[in-house]
Amino acid sequence: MYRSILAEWQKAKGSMALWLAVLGTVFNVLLFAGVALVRYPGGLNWSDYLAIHYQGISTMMLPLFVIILCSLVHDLEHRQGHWELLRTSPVSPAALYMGKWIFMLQLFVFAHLMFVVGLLGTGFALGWLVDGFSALRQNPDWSELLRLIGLTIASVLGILSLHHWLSLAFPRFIVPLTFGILGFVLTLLLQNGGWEYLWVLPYAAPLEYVRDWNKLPQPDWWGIYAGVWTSLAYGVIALIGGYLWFLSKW
Amino acid sequence: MQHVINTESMHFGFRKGPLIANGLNLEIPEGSVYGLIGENGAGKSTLIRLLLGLCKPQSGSVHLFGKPLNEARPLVFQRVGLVLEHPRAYPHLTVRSYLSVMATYRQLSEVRIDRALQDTQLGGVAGRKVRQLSTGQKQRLALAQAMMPEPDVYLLDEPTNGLDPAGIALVRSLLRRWHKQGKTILISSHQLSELEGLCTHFGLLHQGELVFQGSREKLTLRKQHTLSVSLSCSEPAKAADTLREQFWEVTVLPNDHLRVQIKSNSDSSRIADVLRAAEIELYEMQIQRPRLEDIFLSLTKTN
Repeated sequence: MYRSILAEWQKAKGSMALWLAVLGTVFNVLLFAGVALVRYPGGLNWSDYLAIHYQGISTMMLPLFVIILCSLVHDLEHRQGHWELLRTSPVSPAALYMGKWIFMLQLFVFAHLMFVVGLLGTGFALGWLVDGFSALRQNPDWSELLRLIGLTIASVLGILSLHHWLSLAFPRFIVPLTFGILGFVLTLLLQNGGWEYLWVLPYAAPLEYVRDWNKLPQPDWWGIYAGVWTSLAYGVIALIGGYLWFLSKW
Repeated sequence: MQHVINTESMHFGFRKGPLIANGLNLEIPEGSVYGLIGENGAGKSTLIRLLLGLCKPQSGSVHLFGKPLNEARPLVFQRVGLVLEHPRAYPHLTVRSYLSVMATYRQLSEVRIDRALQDTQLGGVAGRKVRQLSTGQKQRLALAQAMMPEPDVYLLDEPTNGLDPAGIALVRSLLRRWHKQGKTILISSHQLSELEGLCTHFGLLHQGELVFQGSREKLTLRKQHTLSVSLSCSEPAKAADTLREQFWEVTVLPNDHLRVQIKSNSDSSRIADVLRAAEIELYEMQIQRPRLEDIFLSLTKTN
């Protein structure tokens, strides 16, 4: 398993997926710092600063990022016909399958931690450099930030596993991407319509997990938006289902 | 002789395509250089995929190192080096990084990468991106990744595609070296002249069947059955009639030359004697040794 994950990181060097993770994160950090600066010229505290960033990414960036990330990582194998060489390497199907999933999760976590470091950096910089933002010279609520990081990762696990499977099954890059975008847009439409069972959809969790700032009524289980739990369930079920499918084609 | 790869009554065909294997019993002896020959579209690449489990036979079985493929993989793949028909590598990586990825999958050291680069003469482009390589260089990169694990068996699907004469010479020298080291090599090609001097064994694939399978010696015996002489003389028509009367099989060629089927080299002097007795002047006579192409064509014609 270890060498499979290591090989994925070696492949990532200079790949579209890595560029997406790095440049997408830098773009988000700068975008939401700019939004804070323009929308709150009188300044704001850390809780609001975090809200701007997390509401911003959860509305659109997170699901799309995971969908495109999965498609790009798999497209590299499909487009080069490299699956045939991997299938004839002395690596077990479990190591290949899980290695790719763990790599994509690691890449997501890496990008998200970069995002957190970026938002802290821009927050402190605004606090010291811009009049009115002096509240950002204080430390943020670290426990709130840790909770948001944990929820962010949990909320994308369903999409990650589902698109790992879809991207594996469909060699054409456009198919899982279209599937993901349609699913995401449908979820957005249902969210706007106020559908009460939105939490059952795999694309809902990243849209709604920042419940404290969300005005819609949401079911919660043990203090966490129900969609996050269904994301975990989708994560496990799609991961197992995808592996069984992968084995059947082995 | 032990067979490193063998199939038993293997059947495989595409739903709307050609029959690739029709009860195929392929036998690749240990230490052999086995030339898999067939025209374009005969199914050589698919057959190699079947041997590796990348396609599943509709019936029959594949054995690698004496074990059924399903039970043996992925462990046996530690001992197999593979070059597939179209070289595949990650285009955004450098040559060295690509080999590093493949070495990681196989737990190989950097030394193996250096050696493979040196042996395939890719050292000078080790830092170049794969997408910037020529077709021939990509083919050599595919060979480098196949040889890195120093496998016992090489499966090479059209390994000389896109190579210039120097590249082809390199492949030949690698094949000779691997053969000397006792490696087993399966090489497929539709360019038969490439294989003629290299292979110890041949398999001629035609319409899902091996119309010939065996050693080079066995093929040579078959060659002797199809020896012929080409001759030019003063009266071709009369010469043809005279020889036919003596039960020789004669073909008059468009340039008024005659082609006469013979069984051994000594038959040529007998033909000369017959013509001399008929007072026909013999200008030129040459023994024609059939090339692999001729054997292949004659075998596929009769099948």
